[in-house]
Amino acid sequence: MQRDRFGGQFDAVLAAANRREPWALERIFQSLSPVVAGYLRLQGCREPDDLTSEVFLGVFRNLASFDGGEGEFRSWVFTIARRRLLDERRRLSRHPDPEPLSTMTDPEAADDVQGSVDEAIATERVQALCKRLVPDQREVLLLRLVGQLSVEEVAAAVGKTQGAVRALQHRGFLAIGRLMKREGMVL
Amino acid sequence: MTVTGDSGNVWPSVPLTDEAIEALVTGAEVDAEFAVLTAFADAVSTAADQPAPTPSAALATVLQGQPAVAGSARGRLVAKVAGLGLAVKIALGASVAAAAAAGAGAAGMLPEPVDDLVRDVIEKVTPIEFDDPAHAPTGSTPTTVPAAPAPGTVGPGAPEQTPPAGGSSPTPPGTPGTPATPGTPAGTAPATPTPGSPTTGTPQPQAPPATEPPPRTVPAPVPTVPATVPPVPATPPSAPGHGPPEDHPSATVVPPSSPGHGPPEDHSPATVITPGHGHPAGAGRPSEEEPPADDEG
Repeated sequence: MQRDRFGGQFDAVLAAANRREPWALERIFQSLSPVVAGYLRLQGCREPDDLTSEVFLGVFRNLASFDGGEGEFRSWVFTIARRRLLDERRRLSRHPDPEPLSTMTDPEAADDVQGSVDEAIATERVQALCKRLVPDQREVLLLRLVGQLSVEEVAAAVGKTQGAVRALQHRGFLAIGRLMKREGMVL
Repeated sequence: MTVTGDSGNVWPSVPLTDEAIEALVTGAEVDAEFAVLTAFADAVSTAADQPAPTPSAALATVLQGQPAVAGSARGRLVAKVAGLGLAVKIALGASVAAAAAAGAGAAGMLPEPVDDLVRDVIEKVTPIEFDDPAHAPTGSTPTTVPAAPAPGTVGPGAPEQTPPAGGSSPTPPGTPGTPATPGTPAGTAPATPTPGSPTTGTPQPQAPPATEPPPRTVPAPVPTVPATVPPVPATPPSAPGHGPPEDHPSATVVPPSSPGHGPPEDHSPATVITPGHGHPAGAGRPSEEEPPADDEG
């Protein structure tokens, strides 16, 4: 997964997005919404697509207040995503939604049915595996692997020290490895 | 910490270093010992990196360069209230209703029976008291008092035309009922107009106060005062040291050390005899700014 998602044109895209030019807003959304939705999905979000839209509404609403490079921008976007996720969890803890029949979104019909099924199964396995992690470890691992954030960026996003983030990712990887080894899990 | 793997060996046999983790995150090659972790990292990346989701209607509007329509402060407030629990919603609604009823009752906008009830409740649960003879309890300090007539001002319709005596402001909410100012006991102050002798009293020369009060509006004295002063329906906003508090349930009593009020003698007398209240004769005294009516007569 690449860190540079704007082809070196982030500053120009950001400036145009601040002028509310549709192409720049669309570019930001297309570049980062897949990983944001993936992060939310693997975090167990019920409606990752809807929440992703809310995240980007917040991003575009506060775009003028952002100042920094692409790395900082990605970290900022994931910080917003994390807060929206916490808001949703808080809301659901008070008013639980009916349990959906499946947490998986309906995949679109594809020519390669076997490939789609394999992908869906793999995604479900990854989700199940992530679910068994301690929440702090899961958050750090997903921000690192999905968001491609550095240790410093993760520390800023979750409000922990870099040492704590390093310890969490270390323990999280070890826990995943042990689970997969013990259960003979193949992804 | 180690675990036994399929082969019976402990896992991992080599330490998982920060460098190995960075390699896992960036997709670089790592030791074969961590092949399961490489598979996990690849699966996470694949599972997460899906096509862009379909934007919501509000976001689609924003993506076209138009301002968002669903993110108004009112909408967020409604959403926030809607997200509250049932008990919190009930408590919030009851608080808003009580505040509205109290405000309307304090403003006298409710029908009289309801107004009486609301005022009674307010007086019981708060230090606020209303200047209604029918509701006036004894021994506490009011927060809202009507404008009081200046000395010599007569007639029931006069108070609203006369500025408050001495320019003193009503006691702020929360000021507890304070007894009359020490050192100025009731009945010791000279020359207070009484119902039978409204023009009695001569200003006593007094030393200027140590701290000057803020500029005040001095009401123009009325040159002539009728021999009999009709009862005045209201009590002054501030009458420190003008008799015992139980005689003036609606009078503002200022403690001697209250900031901004100055010494008791700085306040104009504004002693108004309220019907039905046993005001002692001779209580209170005029200030230097407000000579009694008979000075000019």
